[in-house]
Amino acid sequence: MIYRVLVIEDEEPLQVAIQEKLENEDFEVTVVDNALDALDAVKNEVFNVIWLDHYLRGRHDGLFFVNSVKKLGLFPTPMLLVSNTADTQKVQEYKDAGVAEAYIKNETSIDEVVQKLTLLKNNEKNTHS
Amino acid sequence: MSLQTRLFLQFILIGLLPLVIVFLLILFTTQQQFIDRSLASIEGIADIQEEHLNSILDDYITSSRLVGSRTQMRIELDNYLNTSSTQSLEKVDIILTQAIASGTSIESISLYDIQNSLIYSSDSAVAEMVDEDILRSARDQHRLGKVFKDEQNLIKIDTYGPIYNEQGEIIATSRIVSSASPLLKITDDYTGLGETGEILLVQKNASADAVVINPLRFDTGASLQRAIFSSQIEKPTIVAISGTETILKDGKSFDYRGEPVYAVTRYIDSADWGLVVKVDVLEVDSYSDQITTIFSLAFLLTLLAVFAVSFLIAGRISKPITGMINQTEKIANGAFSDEVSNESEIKELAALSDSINRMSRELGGLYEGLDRKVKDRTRSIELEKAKVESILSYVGDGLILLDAKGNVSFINNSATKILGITDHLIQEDFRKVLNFSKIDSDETLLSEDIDRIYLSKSKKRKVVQRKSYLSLSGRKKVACVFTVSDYFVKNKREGVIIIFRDITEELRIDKVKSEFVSLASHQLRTPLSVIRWFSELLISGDSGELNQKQKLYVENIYKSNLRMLDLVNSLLNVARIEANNFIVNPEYVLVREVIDAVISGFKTELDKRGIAIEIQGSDESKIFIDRDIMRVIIENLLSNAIKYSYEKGKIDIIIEEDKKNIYINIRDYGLGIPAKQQSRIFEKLFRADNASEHDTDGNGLGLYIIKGIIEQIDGEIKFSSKEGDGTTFIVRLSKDGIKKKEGSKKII
Repeated sequence: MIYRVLVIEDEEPLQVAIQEKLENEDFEVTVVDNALDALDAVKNEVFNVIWLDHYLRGRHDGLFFVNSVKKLGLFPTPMLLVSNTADTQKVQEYKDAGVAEAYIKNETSIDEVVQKLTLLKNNEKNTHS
Repeated sequence: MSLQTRLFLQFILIGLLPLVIVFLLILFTTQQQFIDRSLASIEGIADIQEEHLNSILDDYITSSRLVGSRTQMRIELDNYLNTSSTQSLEKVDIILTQAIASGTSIESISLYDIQNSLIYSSDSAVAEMVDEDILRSARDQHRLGKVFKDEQNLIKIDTYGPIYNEQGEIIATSRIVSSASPLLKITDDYTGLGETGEILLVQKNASADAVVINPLRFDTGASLQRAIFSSQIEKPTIVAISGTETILKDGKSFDYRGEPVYAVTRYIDSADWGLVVKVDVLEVDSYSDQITTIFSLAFLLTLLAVFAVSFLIAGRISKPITGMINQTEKIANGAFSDEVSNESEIKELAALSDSINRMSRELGGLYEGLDRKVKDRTRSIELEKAKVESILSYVGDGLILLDAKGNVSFINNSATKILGITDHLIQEDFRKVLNFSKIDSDETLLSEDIDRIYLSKSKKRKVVQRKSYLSLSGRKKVACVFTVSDYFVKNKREGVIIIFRDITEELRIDKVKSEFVSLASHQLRTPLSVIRWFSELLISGDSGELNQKQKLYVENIYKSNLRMLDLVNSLLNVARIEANNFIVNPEYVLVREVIDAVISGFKTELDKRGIAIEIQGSDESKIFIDRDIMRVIIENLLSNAIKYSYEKGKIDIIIEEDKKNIYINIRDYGLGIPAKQQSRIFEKLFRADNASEHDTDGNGLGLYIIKGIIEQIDGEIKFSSKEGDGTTFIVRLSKDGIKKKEGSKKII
């Protein structure tokens, strides 16, 4: 089965690293670098999980995206915040809006996040089979 | 009522009452005495005249005796009666004529025989007017006859008496007619009887109860004419003739004229007459009226004198007092130069005037000195005030003074600049015009703090320092930092001083700084994250296996990248600590738990270098603290202890606690800190020489960061160290003193 991941990340090298790592792990990856494109993507396609950064290209940040998704009623797609912000207040706002997990990039190896996604994927598989 | 009037009236009252009583008493007694005296004088006159009358009447009787006792005459008469000898009768005539001639008042002598027939008379005209009853009664003794009028209307009196012969036998009765003028002389004498006084002689009469003998003062024809009856109102004569001797002084007796009289009655026994001496009541009373008039005049004069004296005395007493009042009035108005007269005759008043004058002079002197001092003082106060006002007006900080009630009493220029127009605030209650609102939601409202200061009963100065927004109605909020304090004058709170400074710009800079830190944290970390993750990808062989050398190089990149991340995190911590802008979110934390977690993080390194850690102390020690802060502190200290320990060294961690504090001791037996450099170890970016040589990893920020954190949460960090022997760090943390604190960033 295809497991679709929407990666919302503005930093190009990271986009590449994430995409390569996830595709190696058999995820189907869509990458966008701003909140509006991300909103278009979730409106048009169905994703199993969303990988989200805080600071994005353009005027809107990840929080805007999360709140907009909530308004559109598109939950319960699980979302993981993978950002460089250590601001606990911000993190709390994301969690309040429905984000499941928050990772700080430079404190976390990419493997840790991928392992989490794999876990989610396997769980889904198990529930479907 | 003025003092003079009051004194005057009092004197009058005091003087007048006894005066009136005394005058009335004297008047009544004097009147009574006067009447008594008048009556006594009338009585005296009555007594004297009675005596006179008696003696005159005695004279008449004596004359009768003398005539009757003449021996020759008796012999000749006896002879004539026996012999009818004319010779003898002639001799009788000669003797009796001689007797008439020698007697003073005898006018005629008649002789009657025992048959009452006329024997002889020297005046035949009178001889017929004889009273035979009296003739008969006069055979035993000499007696007075009656008063009567002769043909010439002259008043006469006759005396009767027996004539005896040699053998003592009665042979005849004599009748001597004498002039009544000696009697009338008495009754005509009004001496001592005033204008209305009279003397009345009355004799009994056959046809009336009494008849007046003498001519009267007011009725000269009354003699033997005026008859008086007991039925008439003319009492005194009736009383007198009835033989009663008395004083009629009730004023209710009337005389023949119908006038009320005072009268004295006497009875003339020998003649059976009444004597009345009387004076008109009116006359006596008129004298007494005169006395009353004189007394009244005297009274009026005395009264006038009392008035005058009272007036004078009241004036004398009140004048100096009035003078003194005027003087004290002047003193009260500040005029000390005038003097009040001290010439009062009253010693005490003069002394008082002297005292007032002296007091006035001394006050004058004092006042002058005081006035000068006050002027000097006022000037220096004004100078001081001007100085203070100009300082307060132009000092950079805003300043608002509130009075004891909380009304605005002063606002300086800076305050006006900060707040906008403030003219309307003066005298207004600060509670109505100054709107405070919170900047930090944790703090209390500044207006409530100021109210608390006003409500406090403590005499100690209270100071509140606070950031707060302040706005005047209709104006925008200004963020300021305030210092509010009350001030006391002689232990009495006179008001509150509010000093404030606009911190809008500071807040803006803080915000910019905070935003910068936030941005920097993102921007610096992002490339580091990229390096990290790509290193990881390479090492994990995701893009194909690396050879040994390549793997070593990538691993070096990866490690250096981690150090770089560490350095960035430390610098961000420094920035947050310096801005005092980090979150504190306290909870109860088991100290041991944090230490164990940190140790497990260092496990790889500890194992690699063979360093053992020994922990002593309670597993139960709890502290109310932010878990991340606690972790950062332990992590830093333990990291240093490990870093500077020798291979296979030992580290002791001792947890101690008392009532209020937890003490964490971390001891290593490693390099130690050179004595010379011990004072600098908490400086930013400082590294001890031996530390730099030993290990190039350190960035010189760890101790600076934890000292900053510990001090901002009211803890303390100390150390002792000896180069070569190792170092002990002791951290004291309050068990429950740490407060929740909002901030934008967490300490990492």
